[in-house]
Amino acid sequence: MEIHRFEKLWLVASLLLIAGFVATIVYGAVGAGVAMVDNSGGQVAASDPTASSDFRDPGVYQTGDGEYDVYVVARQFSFTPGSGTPIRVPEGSEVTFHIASRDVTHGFNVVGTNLNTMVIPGQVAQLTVEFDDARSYHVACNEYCGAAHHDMTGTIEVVPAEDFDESEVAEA
Amino acid sequence: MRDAIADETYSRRGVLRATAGTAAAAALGSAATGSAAGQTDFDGWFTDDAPGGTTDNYDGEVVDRTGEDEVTVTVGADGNGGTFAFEPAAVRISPGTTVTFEWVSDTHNVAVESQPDDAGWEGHDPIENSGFSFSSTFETLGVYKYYCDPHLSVGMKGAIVVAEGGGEQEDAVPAEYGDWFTDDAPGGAVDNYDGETVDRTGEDEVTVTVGADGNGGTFAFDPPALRVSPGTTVTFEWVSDTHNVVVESQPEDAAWEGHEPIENTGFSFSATLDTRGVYKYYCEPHLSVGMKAAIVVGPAPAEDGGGGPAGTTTPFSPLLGTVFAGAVAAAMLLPVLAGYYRRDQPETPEYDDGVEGEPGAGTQEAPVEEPVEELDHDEYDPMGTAALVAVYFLILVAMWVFMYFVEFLGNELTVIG
Amino acid sequence: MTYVDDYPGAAKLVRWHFGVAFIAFALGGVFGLLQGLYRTDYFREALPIDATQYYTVLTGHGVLLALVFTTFFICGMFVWATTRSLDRPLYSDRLAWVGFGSMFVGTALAATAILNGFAPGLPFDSADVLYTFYAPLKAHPAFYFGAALLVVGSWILGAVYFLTYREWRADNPDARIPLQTFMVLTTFIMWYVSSVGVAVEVVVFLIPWSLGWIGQVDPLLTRSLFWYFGHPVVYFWLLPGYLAWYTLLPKFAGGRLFSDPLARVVFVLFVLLSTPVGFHHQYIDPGIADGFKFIAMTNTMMLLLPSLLTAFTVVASVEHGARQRGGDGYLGWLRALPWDEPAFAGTALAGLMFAAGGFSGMINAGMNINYLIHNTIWVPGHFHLTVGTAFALTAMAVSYWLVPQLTGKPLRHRRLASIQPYVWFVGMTLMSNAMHRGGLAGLPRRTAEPVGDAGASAFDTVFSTIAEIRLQIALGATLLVVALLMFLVVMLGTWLSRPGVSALSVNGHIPEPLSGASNGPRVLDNLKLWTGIAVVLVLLAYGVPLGSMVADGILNPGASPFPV
Repeated sequence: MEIHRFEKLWLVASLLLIAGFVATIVYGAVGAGVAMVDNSGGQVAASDPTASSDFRDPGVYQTGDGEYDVYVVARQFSFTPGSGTPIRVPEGSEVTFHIASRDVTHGFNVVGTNLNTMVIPGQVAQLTVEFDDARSYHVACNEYCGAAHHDMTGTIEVVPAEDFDESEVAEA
Repeated sequence: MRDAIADETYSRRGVLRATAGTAAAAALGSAATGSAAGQTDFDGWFTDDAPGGTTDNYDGEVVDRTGEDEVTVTVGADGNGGTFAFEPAAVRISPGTTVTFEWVSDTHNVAVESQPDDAGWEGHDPIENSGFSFSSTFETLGVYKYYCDPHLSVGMKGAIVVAEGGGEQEDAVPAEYGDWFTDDAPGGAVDNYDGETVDRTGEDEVTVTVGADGNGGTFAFDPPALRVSPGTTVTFEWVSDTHNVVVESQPEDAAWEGHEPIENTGFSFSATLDTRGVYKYYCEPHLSVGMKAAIVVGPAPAEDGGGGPAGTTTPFSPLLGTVFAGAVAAAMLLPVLAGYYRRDQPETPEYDDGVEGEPGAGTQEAPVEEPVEELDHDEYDPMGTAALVAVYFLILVAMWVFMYFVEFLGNELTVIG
Repeated sequence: MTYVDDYPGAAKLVRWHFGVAFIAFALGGVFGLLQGLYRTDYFREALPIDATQYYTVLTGHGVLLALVFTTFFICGMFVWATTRSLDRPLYSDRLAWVGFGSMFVGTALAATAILNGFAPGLPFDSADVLYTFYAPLKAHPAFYFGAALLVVGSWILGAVYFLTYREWRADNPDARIPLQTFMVLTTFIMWYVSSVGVAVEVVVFLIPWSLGWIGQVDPLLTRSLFWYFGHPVVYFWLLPGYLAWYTLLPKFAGGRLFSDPLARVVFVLFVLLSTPVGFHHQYIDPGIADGFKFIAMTNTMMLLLPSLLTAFTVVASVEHGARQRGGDGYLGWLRALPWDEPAFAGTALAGLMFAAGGFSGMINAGMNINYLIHNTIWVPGHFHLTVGTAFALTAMAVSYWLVPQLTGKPLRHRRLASIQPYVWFVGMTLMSNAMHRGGLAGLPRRTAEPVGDAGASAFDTVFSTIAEIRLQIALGATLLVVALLMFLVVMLGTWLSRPGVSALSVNGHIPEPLSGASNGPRVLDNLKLWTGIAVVLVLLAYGVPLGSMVADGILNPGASPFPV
């Protein structure tokens, strides 16, 4: 097969580019420690996640020193907690979100950050992040979920540790 | 408390906001004991000026169920862009009436927005699913506003007016048809209903024409909305073929049977309607085109001049109408345009399309382009291409590094587990 | 003699396909403008839609443009490419019309269901489920039947191409497959392998479910089946563009294709790699092990290779044309190209925008960086450069050249036609750069009210403000619709003219490649081999994950329908 020498060079350059891209992603996973949301959150009943043993009543639970679990139920068109009352966690904490839908497919995107996941009926999206700064985050459903999809928003409030009210934490 | 945060999330949004409106609501409630509150806007509760979206299934009519002991409100009925409606959205009842809320779809609750000062209705805050129901008895006069917390944003709101039947108006029957004349009810919208209820009270005999012109053919009851006095004999006269009269709903203790066999021109039958209330009926073969009608038995409430407009009857949105009209206009323009484009063009093609069995020259194409200088494979090295793809390569690498290490890894909240 | 004189039957088929495609294009384009203005809050009060109908418009825009316009145009264009390059009529015009009929009825059913969102008086329930129709959101069954008929119709046309090829092969046992036919056949092999996914999703699950015959479906499984089809479908749009770039753009530029064998290699790579990549649309889906996501990523990254090779070959062919036209210098030859020829300008600008869209595609392919842009407006920013320009602008440019040959009518409004690609290019530049930057700021896609209750300032960043992004999107969308109308005026004027009144300004001659098919190995033409390997790769990439999703019961965890 006749291939021009420029084409051979470009072929090599292209393969290098591809290898470089894959290497970057691997670095992100291993070096920078970015984990993918996967099947570790388990499965729940699609219409009633809280009834499943893998899930709990929606709320914030303390699991250790500076470690919290947040169970969020998404439904047309709100997050519980999140939409009515904000999700409130202390600054400097490591928080694991467990998010499940009780009706249709939703999204859970903390706007302007890397915390972003699909919420698919029957599956639990489980993600851990560290909240270093005390500030408030806007949460948007970013998968179309029905007529008022655009109203499905919420808030995460990261409060200074001394202002965090321990009584808001649900007991396991 | 086991899960304080969880409970709090079910708290009533907007309850404080509405406190200021309570006095006005109470005043409205007493106004409702009069007669003119057939239509009310509840201080904008059903619009998006209030918390949440516009309540599409509220058509401006308060369904009058005064005098009944038990009234049902459907939770999660069709409306507001899904199964997000209380049906009826607004209802007027007498003091002491028990209202039963029945869930027909999932994930709804009944959260109280406002109520009369000394009332203590709690609604039902927990989210429930299809099949659930609860009842409340309303004693205190006034207006109760409530909503569904998960679906407030699409306008899932309701209101209950508790009012005394008022004095001499006690036996008045408002002309309230719900969505019967709209396409939200079974069948199409009723084109020949213009929002007017023809008042024939005081007459002993009244005629309704079956199969009159309307609804895209001879598919109308005329008049579609009629008010008569109790005891009036209504005669139905067929003026076109294949219609019947099927009763959709009638007052609880009435027993009108309509006339279900399908009849043709010349047929007629009569019915004497004694029980006060609203009778809705339709023609089964032509329901889908909107052959529907209603009769109100009883005097009109004062100032309720024969019944106000009951819901909108727009079968098409303005957008679709415009597009459709545009398409028709464009299609009609085509011959005109063709005339324009063909004005200077000879009818017979210039080319020779040959004789039977032998191909002709056919349409003439432009001549094949001749290169200024012929360049063969061996004498051509794509230097410019090499330069361009090299630049492209560098842009890709630079953009990738920027996107990955600045925009992504430099962003807030890294998912670590 | 032009194409319509040689193949009047096939020309009629192509004209009908293009006619339906252009009507869908017109309607879908107007929907796009409504949508662009609504979500950027320009003239929102004056628009005839509300927030709920925004999603009707969005569904219509996606289905009419991404599914109807593309499929009809491609199936029509492939009728032309097959007959022209094999130099024989179709195996059966009648069978091809059956395929067209199936697609047409399917489109009518789905469109009626969608338009119901504006006019509840129509006989179907609404279908505001967007073109991805994720269960458990449920549309009227007519929507799913329509989608199925559209796909089945395209399968029938694919069968016609293969049968025509088989007839040709019987007459030419030793010849290499003509390049255009090779591209048509490989594209359809990929299409058959991949559209099985959506066929199973719709026929086995969604239709029985929407009719109430089964109570529940597994949202993750149906979604995975959709994306099994959902990524290859973008190559189903793109490869006809590649066919034009490889076989027509060199001619438009005045040159010859640089390398026929490399073009074949590229199409073979697409056959092999297009399908086992769907999980890259599900990088941040729960319920899928990250190992499967990683495998999908390496496959996806490898798919960059054929596109990067294409970039070189196509640019080299264009440069060859420029030099044959007398151009010289390292980059000075660019000036020698026929930039005032609409067919050339449109195709070339489409290729240029695809180079930009290729970059955002590389980001989309990166596994963990998907957290940054998933379901933000970055994603529509990307695919408006690819399907929305690489395909759509190429299709318009090809039409300027091909429609005269299909009708025997010279192109009308040539000046309008020669400006049109530039208007599209400017409009898309404004719109897509703003969408990409908006995505980085976290603006969600698919929403009537993007900033929600957070307020616009929550999305302002160092590089952009929401106000400026909105202005660019609204302006870009307006220019795009202006360009679309210009195209339609040219097509309408040409169509309404009389045939045969004067010589065409184009010719159907396609020069031989510089390096012909005989310079490549014959194994490239072994379609059975490539199909076999493609199926094995699909089984490797999808067998285990789909197996684990159905292991707990094919309908579990099951979700009941939520009508919209």
